[in-house]
Amino acid sequence: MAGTGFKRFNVLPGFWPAFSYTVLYLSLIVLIPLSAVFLKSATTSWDHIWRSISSPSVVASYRLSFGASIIAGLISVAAGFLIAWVLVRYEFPGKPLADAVVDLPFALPTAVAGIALTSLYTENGWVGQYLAKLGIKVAFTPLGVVVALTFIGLPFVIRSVQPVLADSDQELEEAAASLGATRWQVFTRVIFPLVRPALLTGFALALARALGEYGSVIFISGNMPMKTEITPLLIVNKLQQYDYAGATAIAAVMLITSFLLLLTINLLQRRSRRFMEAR
Amino acid sequence: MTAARSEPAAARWALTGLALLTLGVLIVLPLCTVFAEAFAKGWSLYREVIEEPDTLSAIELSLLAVGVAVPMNLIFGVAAAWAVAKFQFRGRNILVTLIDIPLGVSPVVSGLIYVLVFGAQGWLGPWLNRHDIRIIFAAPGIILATVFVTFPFVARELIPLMESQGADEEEAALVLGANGWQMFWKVTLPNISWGLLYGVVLCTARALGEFGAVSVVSGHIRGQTNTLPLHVEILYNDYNYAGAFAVASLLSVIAVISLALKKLLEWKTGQAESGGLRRTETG
Amino acid sequence: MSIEVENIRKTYGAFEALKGVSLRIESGELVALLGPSGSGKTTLLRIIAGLDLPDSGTVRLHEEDATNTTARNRRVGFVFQHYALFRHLTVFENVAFGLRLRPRATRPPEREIRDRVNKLLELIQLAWLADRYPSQLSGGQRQRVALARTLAVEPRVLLLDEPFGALDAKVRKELRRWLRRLHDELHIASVFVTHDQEEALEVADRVAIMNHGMIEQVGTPVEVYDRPANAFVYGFLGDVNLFHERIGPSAARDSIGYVRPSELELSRHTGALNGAVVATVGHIGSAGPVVRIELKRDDNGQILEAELSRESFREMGLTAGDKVHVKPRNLRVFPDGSVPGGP
Repeated sequence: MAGTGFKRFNVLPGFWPAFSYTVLYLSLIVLIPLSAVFLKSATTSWDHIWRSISSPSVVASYRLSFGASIIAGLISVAAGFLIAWVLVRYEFPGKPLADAVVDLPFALPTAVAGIALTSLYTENGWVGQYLAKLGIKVAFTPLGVVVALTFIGLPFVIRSVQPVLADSDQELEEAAASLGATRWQVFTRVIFPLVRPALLTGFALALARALGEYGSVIFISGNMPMKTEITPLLIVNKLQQYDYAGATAIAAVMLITSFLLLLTINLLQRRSRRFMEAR
Repeated sequence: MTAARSEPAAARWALTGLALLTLGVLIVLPLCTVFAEAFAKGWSLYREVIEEPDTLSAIELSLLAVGVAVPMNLIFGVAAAWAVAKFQFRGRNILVTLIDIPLGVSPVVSGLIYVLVFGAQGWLGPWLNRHDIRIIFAAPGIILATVFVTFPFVARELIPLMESQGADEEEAALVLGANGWQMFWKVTLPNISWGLLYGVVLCTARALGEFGAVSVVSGHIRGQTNTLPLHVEILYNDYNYAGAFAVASLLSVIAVISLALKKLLEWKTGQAESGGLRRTETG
Repeated sequence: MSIEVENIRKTYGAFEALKGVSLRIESGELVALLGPSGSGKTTLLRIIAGLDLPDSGTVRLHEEDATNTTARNRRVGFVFQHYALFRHLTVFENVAFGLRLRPRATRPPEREIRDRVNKLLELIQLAWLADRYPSQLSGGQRQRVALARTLAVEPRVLLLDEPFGALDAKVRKELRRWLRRLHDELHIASVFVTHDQEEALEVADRVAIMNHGMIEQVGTPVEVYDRPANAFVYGFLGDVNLFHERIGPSAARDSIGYVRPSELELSRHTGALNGAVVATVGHIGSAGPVVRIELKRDDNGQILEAELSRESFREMGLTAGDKVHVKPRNLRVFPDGSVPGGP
């Protein structure tokens, strides 16, 4: 009568309908279709899988996807920290608007971002024409991929760092200053260690998103084989050639990568929470 | 702000300027480009593109996908949040983690999984073929992919909100003689209404804008299986830049509105004493 | 309308919240469940209300077995520790909530609902706040609204969880006298949970002192204060001095004697007090109606605390460093070896 040991007794009604519906819906929409990736891979010959995930063009795409994602993530960390710092610590006219704008990459459809960035960075685009004079080509090069992924990744870093900066204890910095620390020492020895876990989380979130990103990249990358093809694009290409097994094998690699990344993010967040509580 | 935690004014202004410049070039400029390009060839061409039958049918399909995906995920979100936030049971944390899965899956893979289940070579492909039911390369596939990518949005907003509210008010309603439905409609729902709306805004924005997942399952049949973002791609690949940006500008307006709504709701719930809403990504 | 619980057991995982608790509350009685946090008092209250289920045992309301009756059918009034007012409803609508829920057949007509709610708002003296929302009220006002909301459905028993826990000292005192008067008017069985012994002793007809999931003693405030059943009860109801002594003529073993600070007799001369110990006066706290004196026994270094009235303190003219003779006026020894509880 007092529960079966699975669930603690609670006077509120509706647990079983809500729980069953949740599990059913989750299974039908997410878990079962997702398991198809692994089941399909299991029925494909190992040889075919290996050829699919290790062919030169696929390996080149891993290099581009990982390389560009990591570089974009690092740029996001630097720029994101600066922007978060200014948004939290300083007052200036139009601050609420600047804060709202940060979420734009979350809200703007990726395809729209993709064509907008492309037109911005082609050789006669608003930004591209000046870069061209410096001899820098962005659109249709790996650099373009980095630009698109920075656009996507930046808000993750800003939104991870902002609350930590806002919550950071004023007394901590004042205490350091009263002990004779210069502003720079306060920054490197007090503020930065405090924000580091959030920066790391923001970086991991941006990286996870960037690795799978499709819409905002495929326009600006130009999709030249071996040069500017990202991994998700290769899945689409294989599908268009009806190579389902090959597409699925690459998808499995991507899924495993992103699950590992999510696991890392979870651990990071748990650690930074404990860090915050311990203060 | 005390002197101890502030930089010299010159450094403050320099940092602020640099931050705003970065924000402007990286984020604001692309948005401006969309509108500039959309109206580059004048208002009349803009209207022409928007009123094209292919555009209209893309709008229709996009709205259909939103119209199905949002209510489905809304109901799911409420049910999941009710079970997870108000009850203690074994495996609760695992369930919460599983709900977040779609956020970590590449859009392309999100589409692929439905191809593997419902496609011609998929699990149910032969059966569907015999019964002449089309899911992949048709509207149902697009709807399914949209449901998948927007799956956790409402639940993710509601779970922390309902956890922070606790069960006291519901218990009070029961002791005062309310039955389950009365408790839900008169106490629970009014208390989560702002969070619910927030989740719906995020869900709608993402559903309208989804590109990768929908692209994989759509088959790109013009006038039939095109959503707005797919239509942008088709126009763009046809070198009809003005057209592509015109349609893109429609989506951008919706994105800006959703951002404004989001801010409004954050401000609203910030006023009310309910626990702060978490930000979740859309796009 | 009486409440009776019999042999109630409840565990949460490995934690035993209640270990076979039995208690009977008569109609018209106001009983306090008093104990430290984690003693199981709130769990017991929630089990009476039907908000929690016991692992075993019976709950009887009005002599009927209600163990398996749902909370909504028990017709008990429950006032939550943090009030649990509906934040989206006005004060008026909060109070009317229970009446408006009723099925059409038993629901009073709108006019009667309004009358009843208005009468209750007058009873709690908050009629002028009828259109406010809970977030606009003070803690004491919220508490009264929560009570009015509970009373609106005419509960058969009234259960209050730490009713004054979240209020400041002055409002607490006002509200608990008000609760006592209200209870006398309603004349139903009421139970309230508290960890404040002063509150329990002042307001309740009977006090049930709980510790580690068991009831240590039940009785009127005078009974439990004057004849505590064990050291825990003694310690929980007031300040305690410990005397490690061989006590009495036949004391072969060491036992611990307990005495309250107000029951220590002090004198400057040996003659007056037979069998007294000598102590040195330490810190003297002389603000307030009683003077608190810290004493250090010369023989074993133990610290004692004594309370004197202002007059006798003045008469004795004590200052720090003085030697005094100390004798317990009323030394208690508990055979069971239980430890005194601290509030």
